[in-house]
Amino acid sequence: MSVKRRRGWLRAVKMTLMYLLLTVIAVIFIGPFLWLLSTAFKSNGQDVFTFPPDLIPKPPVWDQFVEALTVIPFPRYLLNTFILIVIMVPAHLFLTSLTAYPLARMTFPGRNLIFYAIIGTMFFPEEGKLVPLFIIVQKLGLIDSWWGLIIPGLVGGFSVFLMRQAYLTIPKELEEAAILDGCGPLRLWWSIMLPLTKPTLAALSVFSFISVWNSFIWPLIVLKNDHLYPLALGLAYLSGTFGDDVRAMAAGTVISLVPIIVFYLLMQRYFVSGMQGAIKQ
Amino acid sequence: MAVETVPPPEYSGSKKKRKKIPLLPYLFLLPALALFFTFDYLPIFSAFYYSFTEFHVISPAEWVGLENYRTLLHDPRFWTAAKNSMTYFLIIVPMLITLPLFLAILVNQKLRGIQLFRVIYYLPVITSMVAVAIVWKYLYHPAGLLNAILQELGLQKEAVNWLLNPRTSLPAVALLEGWKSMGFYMVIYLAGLQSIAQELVEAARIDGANRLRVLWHVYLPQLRPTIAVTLVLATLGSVQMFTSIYIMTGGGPLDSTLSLPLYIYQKAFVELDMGYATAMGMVLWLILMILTFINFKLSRGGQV
Repeated sequence: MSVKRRRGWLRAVKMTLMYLLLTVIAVIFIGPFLWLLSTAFKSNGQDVFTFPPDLIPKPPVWDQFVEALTVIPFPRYLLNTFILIVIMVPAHLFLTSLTAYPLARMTFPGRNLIFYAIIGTMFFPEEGKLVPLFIIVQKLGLIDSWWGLIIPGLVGGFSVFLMRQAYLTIPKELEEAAILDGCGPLRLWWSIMLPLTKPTLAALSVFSFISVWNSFIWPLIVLKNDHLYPLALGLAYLSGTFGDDVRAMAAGTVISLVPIIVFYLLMQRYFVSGMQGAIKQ
Repeated sequence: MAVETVPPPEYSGSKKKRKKIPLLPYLFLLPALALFFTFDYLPIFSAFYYSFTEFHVISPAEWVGLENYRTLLHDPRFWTAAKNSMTYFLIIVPMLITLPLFLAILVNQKLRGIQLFRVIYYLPVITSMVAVAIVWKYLYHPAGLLNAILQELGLQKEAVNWLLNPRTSLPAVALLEGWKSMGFYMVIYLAGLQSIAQELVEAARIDGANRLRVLWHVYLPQLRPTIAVTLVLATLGSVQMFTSIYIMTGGGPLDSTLSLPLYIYQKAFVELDMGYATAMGMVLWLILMILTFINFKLSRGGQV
């Protein structure tokens, strides 16, 4: 009996140490965000650079947020990003579903060639083709407009690949039954096959949402007029001008981070399944 | 996974339609094909051309043959950038191969609330590089948190201006880059760990292997394909570094943090020397393509 008790005691110590380790690591990952949050709420009188970090703002103030939302054009950037997401995420999903469907479920001459040509584009990462892509977008007259951001970002080899995998897993019997019932090819795609790919669609929309929200390099190159800037670019632009005003910048950064973090927490399960699905391919 | 093909059922039962080439699939594919052609293939083909020209946007491109590539060989800033990219690689890749595996093993335990830790470790991955680079810039400030902690622990006497000192600036930026993507690689390892058959681990345990030996003789050999993918992805990431450097140091001080993508950006979009920038882009693209190709081979060959 005493052995049992000792074992239980040892286990408790082990568990405590394990949770301690997990927590210390967690602090490394969220510490910078917590510091940011506390800085954003601190008043001018409170030193933001102290140690041990004075994490509790006394008293918490909203001034910086008011400044970030009025003096600095943050609402504009937020609105821009919001509009871009509302246009780009559904358009991306629609085009990806449309493209992947025949590649998975129809036979026609040239299918494999087209499929390899599409996934082959994964060999051209953004950083490697920035300059020639810019030249083309400029020739099309899309520089300094949202079209220049939207149109080149509508399709991607990886998304098509993932979506095609989703269509491939649908049993053939289902399709045959629908055809026997007199279902036409368009309705078969839209009302029967497409709804069955929902988990993949959810994962894709999460990826797409995050990538639009965080997009920086391409907008930096395409946009000149700062009224058109999406959030990340606007934030970078402001850190150049308001960089010394730590509190206002912290407030602005908090505003840019909160929506994406909330979105991540809500959509978390699609995230992990999507990520792992992507890896397993 | 291998490319499987599902033989599709025919849409109409009639035999006369069988020989006809169906129009519908092409209609489905048309918009995407037009986009892929214009924004993926066209840039690559035109890059070949522009890399042999002198091109400053306003005036038309002028053919100069191999001139840009010759300039590149004698451009000290190109070599500095290449050397820096190599140093980023040497810091980041070992960090992202080892630490995330450790994290994955930690969060793969069956503990109450472990999901919360997974979520926290993954958090930096989904936030924008711009936002975290701004935060880290303040952490690295001479009066910032990092200096305060190090001084408090007695590890350093005077505050260091991490980002304005050419000796510390590059490791400082590399550390942020590693911190931000740690969670991403953790998830990759986690998937790898979860695909290891539990019987193997149990068998080793019964044979009297301790934890370390299990890690070394069971986990590591089983994780080989995962490690290979991590290696290539981390390499790609380190070669493509741009945003963190752009925000934190702008490539300075004294070009100590300048990376290849950042130098290309400066040449093309600040100095408007598009021809030369394209030539450098071709070099970068070649490196990236070789790495992506290796990655593709590995991730399809090994069962990740």
